[in-house]
Amino acid sequence: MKQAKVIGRVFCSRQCCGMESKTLLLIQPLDWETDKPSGDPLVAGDTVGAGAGETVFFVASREAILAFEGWEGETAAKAAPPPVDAAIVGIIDGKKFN
Amino acid sequence: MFVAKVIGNVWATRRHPGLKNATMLLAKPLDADGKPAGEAQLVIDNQGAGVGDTVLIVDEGGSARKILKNSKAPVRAVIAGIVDKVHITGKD
Repeated sequence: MKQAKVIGRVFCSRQCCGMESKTLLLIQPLDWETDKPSGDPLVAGDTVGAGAGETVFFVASREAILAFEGWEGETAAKAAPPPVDAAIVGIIDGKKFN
Repeated sequence: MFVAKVIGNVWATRRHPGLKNATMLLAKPLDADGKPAGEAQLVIDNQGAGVGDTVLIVDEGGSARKILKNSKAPVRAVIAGIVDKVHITGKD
């Protein structure tokens, strides 16, 4: 799981199955140690209510869908989960290195 | 799976319910010489590893969820064990 900074938001008027009412954020992955950008920005689904400028961590690939699938609080837990390949799963309060 | 060294920890109050009570550590992969190589990543720990420990990490979702005994947790990298020793034939 990687660290990223929220740099923007993506809006779509036409969306595929399960994407409705999901917040899509534009995030820039960061290196954990240096906090420098690592790789290109990407779009991730939000599960924690992150906002612009916040430092978050996200999970990629198949596990991103699991972040949406069947969790309490989801308006349509029974509905098909959105086809995402990155999901923000936490807002970082702090980190400490030895 | 790969061997890594725990270099730090991360805390977050707002997190996905699937990560509730999860210990989050930062681990940096090690190469064959035991030197840090590559980018650090966030891993979930339920083995009780601490900073400075050498650990074995599973970077695959299905196995990771099995280790955490939570079939719905959105996790990928999990500590599967704490490494005591790595022996490579031909090196001491």
